[in-house]
Amino acid sequence: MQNNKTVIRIQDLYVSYGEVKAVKGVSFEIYEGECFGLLGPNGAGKTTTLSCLEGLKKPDSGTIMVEGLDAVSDSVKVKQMMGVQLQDTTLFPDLTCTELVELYASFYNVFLSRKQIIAYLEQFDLQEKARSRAKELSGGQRQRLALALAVAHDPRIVVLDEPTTGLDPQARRSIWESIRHMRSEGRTVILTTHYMEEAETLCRRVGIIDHGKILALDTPHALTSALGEASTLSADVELEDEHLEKVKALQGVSSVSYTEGQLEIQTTQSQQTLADLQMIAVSAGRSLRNVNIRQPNLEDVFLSMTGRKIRD
Amino acid sequence: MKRFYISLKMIFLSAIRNRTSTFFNLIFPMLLFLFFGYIYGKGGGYANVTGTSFTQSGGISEALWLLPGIISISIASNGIFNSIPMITLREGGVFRRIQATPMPVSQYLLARIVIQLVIVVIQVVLAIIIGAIAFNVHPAGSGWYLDVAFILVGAIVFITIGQFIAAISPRIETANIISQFLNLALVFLSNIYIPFAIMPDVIQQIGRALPGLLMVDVLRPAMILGNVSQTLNNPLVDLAGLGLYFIVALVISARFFRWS
Repeated sequence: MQNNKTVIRIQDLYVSYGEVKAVKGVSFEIYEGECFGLLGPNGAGKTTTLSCLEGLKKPDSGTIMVEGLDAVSDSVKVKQMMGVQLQDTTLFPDLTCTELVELYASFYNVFLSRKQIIAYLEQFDLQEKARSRAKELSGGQRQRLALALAVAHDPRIVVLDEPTTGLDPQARRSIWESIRHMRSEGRTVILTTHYMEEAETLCRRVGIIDHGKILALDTPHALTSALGEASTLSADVELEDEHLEKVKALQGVSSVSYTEGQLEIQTTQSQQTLADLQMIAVSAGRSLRNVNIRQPNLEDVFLSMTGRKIRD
Repeated sequence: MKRFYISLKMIFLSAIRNRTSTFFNLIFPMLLFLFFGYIYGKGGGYANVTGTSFTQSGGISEALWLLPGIISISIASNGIFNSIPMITLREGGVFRRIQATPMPVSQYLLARIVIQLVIVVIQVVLAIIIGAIAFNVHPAGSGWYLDVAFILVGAIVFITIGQFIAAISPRIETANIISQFLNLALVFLSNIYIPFAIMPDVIQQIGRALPGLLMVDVLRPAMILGNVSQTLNNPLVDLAGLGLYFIVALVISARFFRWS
Protein backbone atom coordinates (compact mmCIF):
# COMPACT_ATOMS: atom_id res chain seq x y z
CA MET A 1 0.00 0.00 0.00
CA GLN A 2 2.81 2.35 0.79
CA ASN A 3 4.44 4.48 -1.83
CA ASN A 4 5.94 7.90 -1.82
CA LYS A 5 3.21 9.80 -3.58
CA THR A 6 2.75 13.00 -1.58
CA VAL A 7 -0.82 13.59 -0.43
CA ILE A 8 -0.26 16.46 1.97
CA ARG A 9 2.54 19.00 1.76
CA ILE A 10 2.96 21.56 4.51
CA GLN A 11 5.58 24.23 3.88
CA ASP A 12 6.97 26.91 6.17
CA LEU A 13 3.86 27.08 8.29
CA TYR A 14 3.74 29.95 10.77
CA VAL A 15 0.71 30.36 13.03
CA SER A 16 0.13 32.64 15.98
CA TYR A 17 -2.62 33.34 18.47
CA GLY A 18 -2.31 37.03 19.15
CA GLU A 19 1.19 37.52 20.46
CA VAL A 20 1.83 33.83 20.98
CA LYS A 21 3.63 32.13 18.13
CA ALA A 22 2.32 28.57 18.22
CA VAL A 23 3.89 27.21 15.04
CA LYS A 24 7.22 28.54 13.82
CA GLY A 25 8.16 27.25 10.40
CA VAL A 26 6.80 23.72 10.21
CA SER A 27 7.30 21.79 6.98
CA PHE A 28 6.60 18.15 6.22
CA GLU A 29 5.03 15.85 3.67
CA ILE A 30 2.66 12.98 4.12
CA TYR A 31 2.64 10.09 1.69
CA GLU A 32 -0.31 8.19 0.40
CA GLY A 33 -1.45 5.31 2.56
CA GLU A 34 0.89 5.94 5.44
CA CYS A 35 0.16 6.69 9.04
CA PHE A 36 2.03 9.82 10.00
CA GLY A 37 2.38 10.93 13.61
CA LEU A 38 3.16 14.27 15.15
CA LEU A 39 4.67 13.51 18.52
CA GLY A 40 5.28 16.16 21.11
CA PRO A 41 4.28 17.52 24.50
CA ASN A 42 1.18 19.62 25.17
CA GLY A 43 1.52 23.07 23.68
CA ALA A 44 4.10 21.95 21.12
CA GLY A 45 1.97 23.11 18.18
CA LYS A 46 0.49 19.76 17.12
CA THR A 47 -3.15 20.74 17.34
CA THR A 48 -2.49 24.15 15.78
CA THR A 49 -0.80 22.51 12.79
CA LEU A 50 -3.77 20.18 12.35
CA SER A 51 -6.24 23.05 12.77
CA CYS A 52 -4.71 24.73 9.72
CA LEU A 53 -4.91 21.49 7.77
CA GLU A 54 -8.56 21.09 8.81
CA GLY A 55 -9.36 24.63 7.69
CA LEU A 56 -10.18 25.78 11.21
CA LYS A 57 -7.31 28.22 11.58
CA LYS A 58 -5.71 30.48 9.02
CA PRO A 59 -1.92 30.37 9.03
CA ASP A 60 0.06 33.62 9.21
CA SER A 61 2.16 32.34 6.35
CA GLY A 62 3.14 29.12 4.64
CA THR A 63 1.20 26.76 2.44
CA ILE A 64 -0.76 23.58 2.96
CA MET A 65 -1.48 21.57 -0.16
CA VAL A 66 -3.75 18.54 -0.05
CA GLU A 67 -3.84 16.45 -3.23
CA GLY A 68 -2.65 19.53 -5.09
CA LEU A 69 -5.34 21.81 -3.63
CA ASP A 70 -4.63 24.73 -1.32
CA ALA A 71 -6.19 24.07 2.09
CA VAL A 72 -6.92 27.77 2.61
CA SER A 73 -8.27 28.93 -0.75
CA ASP A 74 -9.87 25.60 -1.68
CA SER A 75 -10.94 24.72 1.81
CA VAL A 76 -14.36 23.26 0.95
CA LYS A 77 -12.88 20.77 -1.52
CA VAL A 78 -10.09 19.91 0.87
CA LYS A 79 -12.54 19.39 3.73
CA GLN A 80 -14.57 17.07 1.50
CA MET A 81 -11.50 14.81 1.08
CA MET A 82 -10.72 14.63 4.77
CA GLY A 83 -12.31 13.05 7.79
CA VAL A 84 -11.48 14.62 11.12
CA GLN A 85 -11.63 13.88 14.80
CA LEU A 86 -11.01 16.91 16.98
CA GLN A 87 -9.84 16.90 20.57
CA ASP A 88 -12.65 16.78 23.16
CA THR A 89 -15.59 17.27 20.86
CA THR A 90 -18.94 16.85 22.51
CA LEU A 91 -21.34 14.85 20.36
CA PHE A 92 -25.00 15.76 20.32
CA PRO A 93 -25.93 13.97 23.55
CA ASP A 94 -29.51 13.09 22.68
CA LEU A 95 -28.85 11.51 19.29
CA THR A 96 -28.15 7.80 18.82
CA CYS A 97 -24.98 6.42 17.24
CA THR A 98 -26.91 5.60 14.07
CA GLU A 99 -28.34 9.10 13.83
CA LEU A 100 -24.96 10.69 14.45
CA VAL A 101 -23.33 8.71 11.63
CA GLU A 102 -26.20 9.69 9.32
CA LEU A 103 -25.87 13.35 10.36
CA TYR A 104 -22.09 13.62 10.06
CA ALA A 105 -22.06 11.86 6.68
CA SER A 106 -24.74 14.30 5.51
CA PHE A 107 -22.42 17.23 6.28
CA TYR A 108 -20.36 15.85 3.37
CA ASN A 109 -23.40 15.33 1.17
CA VAL A 110 -23.08 11.60 1.67
CA PHE A 111 -26.36 9.88 2.47
CA LEU A 112 -26.04 6.46 4.04
CA SER A 113 -28.62 3.73 4.21
CA ARG A 114 -29.36 2.12 7.54
CA LYS A 115 -27.45 -0.94 6.42
CA GLN A 116 -24.36 1.07 5.58
CA ILE A 117 -24.51 2.84 8.92
CA ILE A 118 -24.67 -0.45 10.80
CA ALA A 119 -21.71 -1.70 8.78
CA TYR A 120 -19.72 1.37 9.79
CA LEU A 121 -20.65 0.92 13.42
CA GLU A 122 -19.57 -2.73 13.25
CA GLN A 123 -16.12 -1.67 12.10
CA PHE A 124 -15.78 0.28 15.31
CA ASP A 125 -17.38 -2.40 17.45
CA LEU A 126 -20.37 -0.20 18.17
CA GLN A 127 -23.12 -2.29 16.54
CA GLU A 128 -24.66 -3.07 19.93
CA LYS A 129 -24.76 0.62 20.71
CA ALA A 130 -26.48 1.57 17.44
CA ARG A 131 -29.60 2.71 19.26
CA SER A 132 -27.88 4.15 22.32
CA ARG A 133 -27.66 7.88 22.71
CA ALA A 134 -24.24 9.50 22.70
CA LYS A 135 -24.59 10.53 26.34
CA GLU A 136 -24.97 6.87 27.36
CA LEU A 137 -21.61 5.78 25.89
CA SER A 138 -18.42 5.18 27.87
CA GLY A 139 -15.33 7.28 27.17
CA GLY A 140 -13.80 4.62 24.93
CA GLN A 141 -17.05 4.04 23.04
CA ARG A 142 -17.51 7.76 22.54
CA GLN A 143 -14.01 8.01 21.12
CA ARG A 144 -14.63 5.05 18.79
CA LEU A 145 -17.79 6.79 17.66
CA ALA A 146 -15.77 9.96 16.99
CA LEU A 147 -13.54 7.85 14.71
CA ALA A 148 -16.57 6.30 13.02
CA LEU A 149 -17.91 9.80 12.36
CA ALA A 150 -14.54 10.80 10.91
CA VAL A 151 -14.76 8.11 8.21
CA ALA A 152 -18.54 8.05 7.71
CA HIS A 153 -18.19 9.75 4.32
CA ASP A 154 -15.38 7.39 3.29
CA PRO A 155 -12.56 9.95 3.04
CA ARG A 156 -9.10 9.13 1.65
CA ILE A 157 -7.42 11.17 4.38
CA VAL A 158 -8.16 10.96 8.08
CA VAL A 159 -6.91 13.55 10.58
CA LEU A 160 -6.98 12.49 14.22
CA ASP A 161 -6.07 14.86 17.03
CA GLU A 162 -4.95 12.94 20.11
CA PRO A 163 -7.32 10.05 19.47
CA THR A 164 -6.46 8.20 22.69
CA THR A 165 -5.82 10.97 25.21
CA GLY A 166 -7.59 10.28 28.47
CA LEU A 167 -8.44 6.66 27.67
CA ASP A 168 -7.49 3.61 29.72
CA PRO A 169 -5.00 1.14 28.17
CA GLN A 170 -7.67 -1.27 26.98
CA ALA A 171 -9.72 1.44 25.29
CA ARG A 172 -6.52 2.80 23.80
CA ARG A 173 -5.66 -0.54 22.22
CA SER A 174 -9.11 -0.78 20.73
CA ILE A 175 -8.66 2.68 19.16
CA TRP A 176 -5.32 1.49 17.79
CA GLU A 177 -7.12 -1.41 16.15
CA SER A 178 -9.57 0.99 14.53
CA ILE A 179 -6.74 3.16 13.23
CA ARG A 180 -4.93 0.12 11.81
CA HIS A 181 -8.17 -0.83 10.13
CA MET A 182 -8.42 2.63 8.55
CA ARG A 183 -4.94 2.17 7.14
CA SER A 184 -5.73 -1.31 5.86
CA GLU A 185 -8.49 0.30 3.83
CA GLY A 186 -5.85 2.41 2.16
CA ARG A 187 -6.61 5.66 3.94
CA THR A 188 -3.84 8.09 4.75
CA VAL A 189 -3.85 8.79 8.47
CA ILE A 190 -2.27 11.73 10.24
CA LEU A 191 -2.47 11.78 13.99
CA THR A 192 -1.05 13.67 16.93
CA THR A 193 -0.11 12.11 20.21
CA HIS A 194 2.01 12.63 23.26
CA TYR A 195 2.27 8.90 23.84
CA MET A 196 5.48 7.63 22.34
CA GLU A 197 4.27 4.00 22.38
CA GLU A 198 1.38 5.11 20.24
CA ALA A 199 3.63 6.78 17.69
CA GLU A 200 5.93 3.76 17.64
CA THR A 201 3.13 1.24 17.27
CA LEU A 202 0.97 3.00 14.70
CA CYS A 203 3.08 5.33 12.64
CA ARG A 204 5.29 4.60 9.68
CA ARG A 205 6.90 8.00 10.09
CA VAL A 206 6.97 10.34 13.03
CA GLY A 207 7.66 14.05 13.28
CA ILE A 208 8.90 15.14 16.68
CA ILE A 209 7.59 18.61 17.42
CA ASP A 210 8.38 21.00 20.25
CA HIS A 211 7.89 24.74 20.72
CA GLY A 212 6.32 25.04 17.27
CA LYS A 213 9.16 23.43 15.38
CA ILE A 214 9.78 20.00 13.92
CA LEU A 215 12.95 18.72 15.56
CA ALA A 216 13.25 15.44 13.68
CA LEU A 217 11.24 13.49 11.18
CA ASP A 218 11.76 9.88 10.16
CA THR A 219 10.64 6.35 10.82
CA PRO A 220 10.61 5.48 14.52
CA HIS A 221 13.43 3.00 13.88
CA ALA A 222 15.63 5.53 12.14
CA LEU A 223 15.02 8.10 14.86
CA THR A 224 15.99 5.74 17.65
CA SER A 225 18.96 4.30 15.71
CA ALA A 226 20.30 7.81 15.32
CA LEU A 227 20.84 7.85 19.07
CA GLY A 228 23.53 5.22 18.53
CA GLU A 229 23.77 1.77 19.96
CA ALA A 230 23.46 2.92 23.53
CA SER A 231 20.91 1.05 25.60
CA THR A 232 19.67 2.03 29.00
CA LEU A 233 20.50 -0.34 31.83
CA SER A 234 18.60 0.40 34.98
CA ALA A 235 18.60 -1.28 38.40
CA ASP A 236 17.66 -0.64 42.00
CA VAL A 237 20.79 -0.97 44.13
CA GLU A 238 22.42 0.78 47.12
CA LEU A 239 25.82 2.11 46.03
CA GLU A 240 28.41 4.43 47.54
CA ASP A 241 30.29 7.08 45.59
CA GLU A 242 33.39 4.87 45.25
CA HIS A 243 31.26 2.17 43.56
CA LEU A 244 29.72 4.69 41.22
CA GLU A 245 33.17 5.81 40.14
CA LYS A 246 33.93 2.21 39.18
CA VAL A 247 30.66 1.96 37.25
CA LYS A 248 31.46 5.14 35.32
CA ALA A 249 34.82 3.71 34.34
CA LEU A 250 33.31 0.54 32.84
CA GLN A 251 33.83 -0.22 29.18
CA GLY A 252 31.06 1.11 26.89
CA VAL A 253 29.41 3.25 29.55
CA SER A 254 28.67 6.78 28.38
CA SER A 255 26.70 8.18 31.29
CA VAL A 256 25.54 7.17 34.75
CA SER A 257 22.83 8.68 36.86
CA TYR A 258 22.03 7.66 40.41
CA THR A 259 19.21 8.97 42.55
CA GLU A 260 17.81 7.43 45.71
CA GLY A 261 18.87 3.91 45.01
CA GLN A 262 17.96 3.97 41.32
CA LEU A 263 20.83 3.52 38.95
CA GLU A 264 20.57 4.32 35.24
CA ILE A 265 23.46 3.62 32.88
CA GLN A 266 23.77 4.46 29.19
CA THR A 267 25.93 1.80 27.60
CA THR A 268 26.81 0.49 24.16
CA GLN A 269 27.70 -2.94 25.62
CA SER A 270 24.74 -3.71 27.79
CA GLN A 271 25.51 -7.40 28.46
CA GLN A 272 29.14 -6.74 29.46
CA THR A 273 28.12 -3.75 31.57
CA LEU A 274 25.51 -5.86 33.36
CA ALA A 275 28.11 -8.53 34.18
CA ASP A 276 30.58 -5.89 35.42
CA LEU A 277 27.92 -4.16 37.47
CA GLN A 278 26.99 -7.46 39.04
CA MET A 279 30.66 -7.93 40.09
CA ILE A 280 30.81 -4.47 41.64
CA ALA A 281 27.58 -5.04 43.54
CA VAL A 282 28.62 -8.49 44.81
CA SER A 283 32.03 -7.29 45.96
CA ALA A 284 30.33 -4.44 47.81
CA GLY A 285 27.89 -6.88 49.39
CA ARG A 286 24.89 -5.34 47.65
CA SER A 287 22.28 -6.93 45.42
CA LEU A 288 20.70 -5.74 42.17
CA ARG A 289 16.94 -5.60 41.93
CA ASN A 290 14.55 -4.71 39.12
CA VAL A 291 17.22 -4.96 36.50
CA ASN A 292 16.10 -3.79 33.08
CA ILE A 293 17.81 -3.29 29.75
CA ARG A 294 15.92 -1.09 27.35
CA GLN A 295 16.62 -0.23 23.73
CA PRO A 296 16.31 3.48 22.91
CA ASN A 297 12.77 4.62 22.15
CA LEU A 298 11.16 7.83 20.95
CA GLU A 299 11.04 9.14 24.49
CA ASP A 300 14.84 8.99 24.53
CA VAL A 301 14.96 10.71 21.16
CA PHE A 302 12.84 13.54 22.55
CA LEU A 303 14.90 13.65 25.73
CA SER A 304 18.17 13.83 23.80
CA MET A 305 16.85 16.65 21.63
CA THR A 306 15.15 18.81 24.23
CA GLY A 307 16.60 17.70 27.54
CA ARG A 308 13.02 17.14 28.72
CA LYS A 309 10.63 14.25 28.87
CA ILE A 310 7.57 14.46 26.62
CA ARG A 311 5.12 14.45 29.49
CA ASP A 312 7.00 16.76 31.83
CA MET B 1 -31.27 20.22 0.32
CA LYS B 2 -31.26 16.68 1.58
CA ARG B 3 -28.46 17.51 3.99
CA PHE B 4 -30.47 20.47 5.31
CA TYR B 5 -33.41 18.14 5.85
CA ILE B 6 -31.23 15.70 7.82
CA SER B 7 -29.94 18.57 10.00
CA LEU B 8 -33.55 19.66 10.60
CA LYS B 9 -34.56 16.14 11.55
CA MET B 10 -31.66 15.66 13.97
CA ILE B 11 -32.10 19.07 15.61
CA PHE B 12 -35.80 18.37 16.07
CA LEU B 13 -35.11 14.92 17.57
CA SER B 14 -32.52 16.44 19.92
CA ALA B 15 -34.97 19.15 20.97
CA ILE B 16 -37.88 16.88 21.79
CA ARG B 17 -35.68 14.28 23.49
CA ASN B 18 -34.21 16.90 25.82
CA ARG B 19 -36.57 16.60 28.78
CA THR B 20 -35.71 19.94 30.34
CA SER B 21 -36.38 21.99 27.24
CA THR B 22 -39.48 19.96 26.34
CA PHE B 23 -40.86 20.52 29.81
CA PHE B 24 -40.21 24.24 29.92
CA ASN B 25 -41.17 24.89 26.29
CA LEU B 26 -44.21 22.72 25.91
CA ILE B 27 -45.51 21.34 29.18
CA PHE B 28 -44.93 23.98 31.83
CA PRO B 29 -46.67 26.87 30.00
CA MET B 30 -49.70 24.67 29.39
CA LEU B 31 -49.85 23.68 33.06
CA LEU B 32 -49.76 27.36 33.96
CA PHE B 33 -52.54 27.97 31.45
CA LEU B 34 -54.69 25.30 33.11
CA PHE B 35 -53.83 26.58 36.58
CA PHE B 36 -54.44 30.28 36.02
CA GLY B 37 -57.35 29.67 33.72
CA TYR B 38 -58.96 27.65 36.50
CA ILE B 39 -58.32 30.03 39.42
CA TYR B 40 -59.17 33.19 37.52
CA GLY B 41 -62.20 31.48 36.07
CA LYS B 42 -63.37 30.85 39.63
CA GLY B 43 -64.52 34.45 39.73
CA GLY B 44 -61.26 36.17 40.44
CA GLY B 45 -62.43 38.46 37.72
CA TYR B 46 -58.94 38.92 36.35
CA ALA B 47 -60.23 40.37 33.12
CA ASN B 48 -62.09 42.96 35.15
CA VAL B 49 -58.96 44.47 36.61
CA THR B 50 -56.98 44.66 33.44
CA GLY B 51 -57.61 48.31 32.98
CA THR B 52 -58.68 47.80 29.41
CA SER B 53 -62.17 47.71 28.08
CA PHE B 54 -62.15 44.09 26.90
CA THR B 55 -64.73 43.24 29.50
CA GLN B 56 -66.86 46.21 28.74
CA SER B 57 -67.02 45.17 25.14
CA GLY B 58 -69.07 42.15 25.99
CA GLY B 59 -67.32 40.38 28.84
CA ILE B 60 -64.75 37.84 27.77
CA SER B 61 -63.71 34.71 29.57
CA GLU B 62 -60.54 34.86 31.67
CA ALA B 63 -59.13 31.88 29.85
CA LEU B 64 -59.52 33.64 26.53
CA TRP B 65 -57.75 36.64 28.03
CA LEU B 66 -54.92 34.34 29.14
CA LEU B 67 -54.51 32.45 25.85
CA PRO B 68 -52.48 35.07 23.90
CA GLY B 69 -50.38 35.69 27.01
CA ILE B 70 -49.58 32.00 27.40
CA ILE B 71 -48.63 31.86 23.74
CA SER B 72 -46.43 34.96 24.06
CA ILE B 73 -44.63 33.82 27.19
CA SER B 74 -44.02 30.33 25.72
CA ILE B 75 -42.54 31.89 22.62
CA ALA B 76 -40.44 34.22 24.75
CA SER B 77 -38.93 31.44 26.84
CA ASN B 78 -38.39 29.22 23.78
CA GLY B 79 -36.25 31.98 22.30
CA ILE B 80 -34.53 33.18 25.45
CA PHE B 81 -33.55 29.77 26.78
CA ASN B 82 -32.11 28.70 23.44
CA SER B 83 -29.06 30.64 24.62
CA ILE B 84 -28.16 27.66 26.84
CA PRO B 85 -27.84 24.94 24.14
CA MET B 86 -26.14 27.48 21.88
CA ILE B 87 -23.38 27.90 24.45
CA THR B 88 -23.25 24.17 25.14
CA LEU B 89 -22.66 23.56 21.44
CA ARG B 90 -20.09 26.35 21.28
CA GLU B 91 -18.19 25.23 24.37
CA GLY B 92 -18.42 21.57 23.40
CA GLY B 93 -16.72 22.31 20.09
CA VAL B 94 -19.70 21.15 18.02
CA PHE B 95 -19.69 24.24 15.80
CA ARG B 96 -15.95 23.84 15.34
CA ARG B 97 -16.46 20.22 14.40
CA ILE B 98 -19.01 21.24 11.76
CA GLN B 99 -16.60 23.90 10.49
CA ALA B 100 -14.16 21.09 9.70
CA THR B 101 -16.74 19.68 7.26
CA PRO B 102 -17.73 21.16 3.91
CA MET B 103 -21.15 22.20 5.24
CA PRO B 104 -21.31 25.89 6.20
CA VAL B 105 -22.00 26.06 9.91
CA SER B 106 -24.38 28.94 9.21
CA GLN B 107 -26.60 26.39 7.46
CA TYR B 108 -26.71 24.39 10.66
CA LEU B 109 -27.61 27.54 12.60
CA LEU B 110 -30.39 28.27 10.13
CA ALA B 111 -31.73 24.75 10.65
CA ARG B 112 -31.77 25.38 14.40
CA ILE B 113 -33.81 28.54 13.86
CA VAL B 114 -36.28 26.71 11.62
CA ILE B 115 -36.75 24.08 14.33
CA GLN B 116 -37.33 26.79 16.92
CA LEU B 117 -40.11 28.13 14.69
CA VAL B 118 -41.54 24.61 14.44
CA ILE B 119 -41.58 24.46 18.23
CA VAL B 120 -43.38 27.81 18.28
CA VAL B 121 -46.06 26.33 16.01
CA ILE B 122 -46.42 23.37 18.37
CA GLN B 123 -46.70 25.76 21.34
CA VAL B 124 -49.42 27.80 19.63
CA VAL B 125 -51.40 24.75 18.53
CA LEU B 126 -51.14 23.17 21.99
CA ALA B 127 -52.31 26.37 23.71
CA ILE B 128 -55.27 26.75 21.36
CA ILE B 129 -56.26 23.10 21.78
CA ILE B 130 -56.05 23.31 25.58
CA GLY B 131 -58.03 26.54 25.57
CA ALA B 132 -60.73 24.91 23.47
CA ILE B 133 -60.92 21.66 25.43
CA ALA B 134 -60.42 22.88 28.99
CA PHE B 135 -62.09 26.28 28.83
CA ASN B 136 -64.12 26.22 25.64
CA VAL B 137 -62.48 29.43 24.41
CA HIS B 138 -61.65 30.15 20.79
CA PRO B 139 -59.62 32.92 19.23
CA ALA B 140 -61.48 35.27 16.93
CA GLY B 141 -61.08 33.80 13.49
CA SER B 142 -61.40 37.10 11.74
CA GLY B 143 -57.93 38.38 12.61
CA TRP B 144 -56.01 35.17 11.94
CA TYR B 145 -53.52 36.87 9.64
CA LEU B 146 -52.73 39.36 12.41
CA ASP B 147 -52.27 36.45 14.83
CA VAL B 148 -49.87 34.72 12.44
CA ALA B 149 -47.96 37.93 11.77
CA PHE B 150 -47.57 38.89 15.44
CA ILE B 151 -46.63 35.36 16.46
CA LEU B 152 -44.00 35.24 13.73
CA VAL B 153 -42.65 38.68 14.64
CA GLY B 154 -42.53 37.77 18.34
CA ALA B 155 -40.87 34.42 17.63
CA ILE B 156 -38.16 36.02 15.52
CA VAL B 157 -37.55 38.75 18.08
CA PHE B 158 -37.18 36.28 20.96
CA ILE B 159 -35.04 33.84 18.94
CA THR B 160 -32.73 36.78 18.20
CA ILE B 161 -32.70 37.79 21.86
CA GLY B 162 -31.66 34.21 22.71
CA GLN B 163 -28.81 34.45 20.20
CA PHE B 164 -27.89 37.80 21.71
CA ILE B 165 -27.67 36.30 25.21
CA ALA B 166 -25.52 33.44 23.90
CA ALA B 167 -23.24 35.85 22.07
CA ILE B 168 -22.59 38.16 25.01
CA SER B 169 -22.26 35.41 27.64
CA PRO B 170 -18.71 34.17 28.11
CA ARG B 171 -19.92 31.09 29.94
CA ILE B 172 -23.05 29.02 30.32
CA GLU B 173 -23.58 30.24 33.89
CA THR B 174 -23.77 33.82 32.68
CA ALA B 175 -26.34 32.93 30.04
CA ASN B 176 -28.33 31.02 32.61
CA ILE B 177 -28.53 33.99 34.95
CA ILE B 178 -29.43 36.46 32.19
CA SER B 179 -32.05 34.12 30.70
CA GLN B 180 -33.66 33.32 34.04
CA PHE B 181 -33.76 36.95 35.05
CA LEU B 182 -35.21 38.16 31.75
CA ASN B 183 -37.75 35.35 31.64
CA LEU B 184 -38.87 36.08 35.18
CA ALA B 185 -39.18 39.79 34.42
CA LEU B 186 -41.36 38.94 31.42
CA VAL B 187 -43.51 36.54 33.43
CA PHE B 188 -44.24 39.23 36.03
CA LEU B 189 -44.31 42.36 33.93
CA SER B 190 -46.04 41.39 30.68
CA ASN B 191 -49.61 41.74 31.88
CA ILE B 192 -50.18 38.00 31.58
CA TYR B 193 -50.42 36.19 34.91
CA ILE B 194 -50.43 39.25 37.13
CA PRO B 195 -52.90 42.06 36.36
CA PHE B 196 -51.02 45.11 35.23
CA ALA B 197 -53.42 47.54 36.83
CA ILE B 198 -52.43 46.57 40.38
CA MET B 199 -48.77 47.39 39.76
CA PRO B 200 -47.12 50.66 40.78
CA ASP B 201 -46.91 53.17 37.99
CA VAL B 202 -43.14 52.96 37.58
CA ILE B 203 -43.27 49.17 37.24
CA GLN B 204 -45.97 49.55 34.62
CA GLN B 205 -43.72 51.90 32.69
CA ILE B 206 -40.91 49.35 32.76
CA GLY B 207 -43.24 46.54 31.74
CA ARG B 208 -44.56 48.54 28.82
CA ALA B 209 -41.06 48.77 27.41
CA LEU B 210 -40.27 45.05 27.70
CA PRO B 211 -40.62 42.83 24.64
CA GLY B 212 -43.03 40.46 26.39
CA LEU B 213 -45.67 43.13 26.84
CA LEU B 214 -45.03 44.61 23.41
CA MET B 215 -45.93 41.23 21.92
CA VAL B 216 -48.91 40.45 24.16
CA ASP B 217 -50.24 43.96 23.70
CA VAL B 218 -50.88 43.43 19.99
CA LEU B 219 -51.44 39.67 19.98
CA ARG B 220 -54.13 39.79 22.63
CA PRO B 221 -56.65 42.04 20.82
CA ALA B 222 -55.74 40.31 17.56
CA MET B 223 -56.62 36.90 18.95
CA ILE B 224 -59.64 38.01 20.99
CA LEU B 225 -61.18 40.74 18.88
CA GLY B 226 -59.59 40.20 15.51
CA ASN B 227 -58.10 43.71 15.44
CA VAL B 228 -55.54 45.86 17.26
CA SER B 229 -57.81 48.08 19.29
CA GLN B 230 -57.64 48.45 23.07
CA THR B 231 -53.89 48.12 23.43
CA LEU B 232 -51.96 49.65 26.32
CA ASN B 233 -49.37 51.20 24.02
CA ASN B 234 -50.05 52.50 20.56
CA PRO B 235 -49.83 49.29 18.44
CA LEU B 236 -47.34 50.97 16.16
CA VAL B 237 -45.19 51.68 19.20
CA ASP B 238 -45.45 47.99 20.14
CA LEU B 239 -44.29 46.89 16.71
CA ALA B 240 -41.59 49.53 16.49
CA GLY B 241 -40.37 48.48 19.93
CA LEU B 242 -40.18 44.84 18.86
CA GLY B 243 -38.33 45.94 15.73
CA LEU B 244 -35.88 47.88 17.85
CA TYR B 245 -35.24 44.89 20.12
CA PHE B 246 -34.68 42.77 17.03
CA ILE B 247 -32.20 45.16 15.44
CA VAL B 248 -30.22 45.85 18.61
CA ALA B 249 -30.06 42.14 19.52
CA LEU B 250 -29.09 41.21 15.98
CA VAL B 251 -26.35 43.84 15.65
CA ILE B 252 -24.82 43.03 19.03
CA SER B 253 -24.96 39.26 18.50
CA ALA B 254 -23.38 39.63 15.07
CA ARG B 255 -20.64 41.67 16.69
CA PHE B 256 -19.88 39.26 19.54
CA PHE B 257 -20.90 35.94 18.01
CA ARG B 258 -18.28 33.19 18.23
CA TRP B 259 -18.43 29.69 16.79
CA SER B 260 -15.93 28.40 19.34
